[in-house]
Amino acid sequence: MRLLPLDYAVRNLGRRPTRTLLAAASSALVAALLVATAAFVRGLDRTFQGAARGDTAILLSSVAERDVVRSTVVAGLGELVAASVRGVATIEGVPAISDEIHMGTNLALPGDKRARPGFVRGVTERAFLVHDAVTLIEGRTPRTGEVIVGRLVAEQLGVEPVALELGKELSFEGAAFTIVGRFAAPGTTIEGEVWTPLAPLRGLTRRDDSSATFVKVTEPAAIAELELFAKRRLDLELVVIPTAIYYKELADYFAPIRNLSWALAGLIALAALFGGANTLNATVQDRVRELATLRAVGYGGWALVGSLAQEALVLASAGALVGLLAARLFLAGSSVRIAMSAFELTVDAPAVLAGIAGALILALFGTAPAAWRVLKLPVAAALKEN
Amino acid sequence: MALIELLEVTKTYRKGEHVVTPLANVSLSVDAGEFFVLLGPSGSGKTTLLNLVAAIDRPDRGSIRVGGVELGTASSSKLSDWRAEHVGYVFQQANLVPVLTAYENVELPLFLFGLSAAERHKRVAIALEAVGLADRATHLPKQLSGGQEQRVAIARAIVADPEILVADEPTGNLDHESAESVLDLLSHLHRERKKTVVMVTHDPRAARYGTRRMVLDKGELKEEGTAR
Repeated sequence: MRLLPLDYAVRNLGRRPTRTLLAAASSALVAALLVATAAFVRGLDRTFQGAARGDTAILLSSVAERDVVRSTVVAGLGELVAASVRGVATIEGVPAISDEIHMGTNLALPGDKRARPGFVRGVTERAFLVHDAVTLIEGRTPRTGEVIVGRLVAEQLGVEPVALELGKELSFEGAAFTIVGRFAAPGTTIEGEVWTPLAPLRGLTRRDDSSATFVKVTEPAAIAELELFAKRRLDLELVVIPTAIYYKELADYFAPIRNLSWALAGLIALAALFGGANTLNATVQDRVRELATLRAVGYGGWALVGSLAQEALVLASAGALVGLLAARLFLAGSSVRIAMSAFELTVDAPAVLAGIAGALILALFGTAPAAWRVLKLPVAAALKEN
Repeated sequence: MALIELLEVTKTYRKGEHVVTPLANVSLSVDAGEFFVLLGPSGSGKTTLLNLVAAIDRPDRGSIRVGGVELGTASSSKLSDWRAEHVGYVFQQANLVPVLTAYENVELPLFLFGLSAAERHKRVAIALEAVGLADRATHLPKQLSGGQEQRVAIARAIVADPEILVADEPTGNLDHESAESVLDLLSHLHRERKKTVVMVTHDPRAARYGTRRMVLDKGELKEEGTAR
C-alpha cells in the first residue's frame, strides 16, 4: 500500500486553523490530564513504597486493628526487644529500635483562627537509625518544646513554607513549639509529619505508653524472631507487621482514590475521543470530493485512511507535546495533601509515557469513524458532491 | 482492435424510493487510439458509463473488459491499482487538492509507483510542459484560472502515462476560450501521444473533437457520426 506524502497530511492541518487548534488543545488537555493522573497515582504509590522496608517491622497493639494511631504499647518496649530478640540491627553499638507516639492532632500557627489537622510523631534520637530515609536538611534535632518539620508539612497544612521556617512557632495539644529543624524523607509519607521528642510529648498528652515500636533487623528473616517474641510475651498483646506489609495495606486503603482518578481521566479522555472523532468525521465530510478524486487517481481506501491517521497523529503529537510541557512546568515538584500527610507528584518517564501514549491512542481510535466513512465512500457519487 | 468492451452492461441505483436504471443492457466497443465522444442530455447515464470504463464503479450485470482485463469482478484494491496504471481521469471540475501546488497535484499519482524523487520530478516537468504550465508549477490552485486548473488536472491525468484518458464534461465549467484550449490539448494528446480518449459531454461543439461520437439517451446507445 502506497501512502500519500506526509506533506499532504501536515498541510491539510492548516486548512481549518480554528478546528486544528481546538483539536490540538484537546490533545494537549488529554496528555496533561493523563500525566497528572499518572503522576498523582505514581506519587501516591511511591510514597507508601518508599516507607516500606523489608528489614523493618512495627510492633503494634494486637487490639488496634493495625491502626498505629489507635495502638498503645508499653513505654519500655524498645528496651525489652533489644534485650530479648536476636537479629536486631545495631548502628555503632546502638540497637535500631524506635519507640514512638503517632498522633493525629490539630496544629496551629500564630494567629491561626482555625485548626489545621496534622500528624505528629514523638520520637527519640534512635528514630533516625530505623527510618534511614529521614535526613535533617536544615537545623538540628529537637529538644523539649521544639519540633522538626518534614519538607511537605507546609503543603499538608496549606500554608506558605515561610510560615514554617526555623525559629517560627507551631502549637498543638495546648503547647507552643519552636521549629528547630527541617527534614526530608524522599518518597515517603513521613515528609508530611512533625517530629518532637517522645518523653515531653508523653507528658503533654498524659500518656505513659507508646503507639508503636519500630525495629530494624539485620536481615528480613530475623523478623521471625520478633514474631516469636510477640508470641512468647502474650501479656504485651503485640502484633508484628513488616513495614512492607503495613504500608502496602495503607496503599490499598487509598486504592479507591487511585481508581477514581483513573476513572475521571478515562471519562475526560473518552469525551476528547468523541470530540476528536467528530472533528475528523467533519474533515472527511468537507473533503469528500477531494478524497473521491484521490480514489479515482488510484489511491486505495486504506491509503487515505493512513493519511487521515497521519493527520490525527501529527496533530495529537503536537498537542501532546504542549500538554506534556505544561504538565512538566506546573506539576513537577508540586505536592498533594491527602489525609494527614502529603506527597510529591512524580512526573517521571512512565507518567510522561502515559500522556503521550494516551493522546496517540485516542488519536488513532478517533480516526475510526472517519476511516469507516472513507472505506465505504461511494466514489462515483462523491465525485459529484459540492 | 477493441481496447474497451462493454457487453450488455446494466447499472441501477437507488434515488430516494425509486430505482433508476441509467444503463440497461448497453454494449459498446472503443478501439485503441480512438477519441470517443459520448453525447447525451443530463441524467442520461453518460457519467455512469464513464465511471464504469474508469473502474470507479461496477456494473450490476454484464461484462466490462478493458485491455483484456475484466473489471466487473475485480477486487477493490485491484481496481485501484488498475486505475493508477491505466486510466487518467479528467473531471468536470479540476478537483485539485487546494493545499498543494500545481506541481504537487500533478505529482500525486506518481507516489503510487514508488518512483525516485528525480524520476517523479522529470515526469511532472514533462506533464506540466505538455499542458503549457511549466511556469505555474509553484502556484496553488487558488492562484490559477479555471482553464489553468483544468490543465493541471489534465497534467495529473497523463503524468503516469496511462493508455486511456477519460474526461467527464471537462469544459463544463470553462469559458469558451479556456474550453477550446482544453479540448485542443486533449486532441493533441490523442494525436501525438496516441492516447485513447473517452469523453462525455453534452456540448456539440466539444463533441466535434471526437473521432467517433455516440449518443446515450434513455439507456440506449446510438451511433451519431464520424470525425471531422
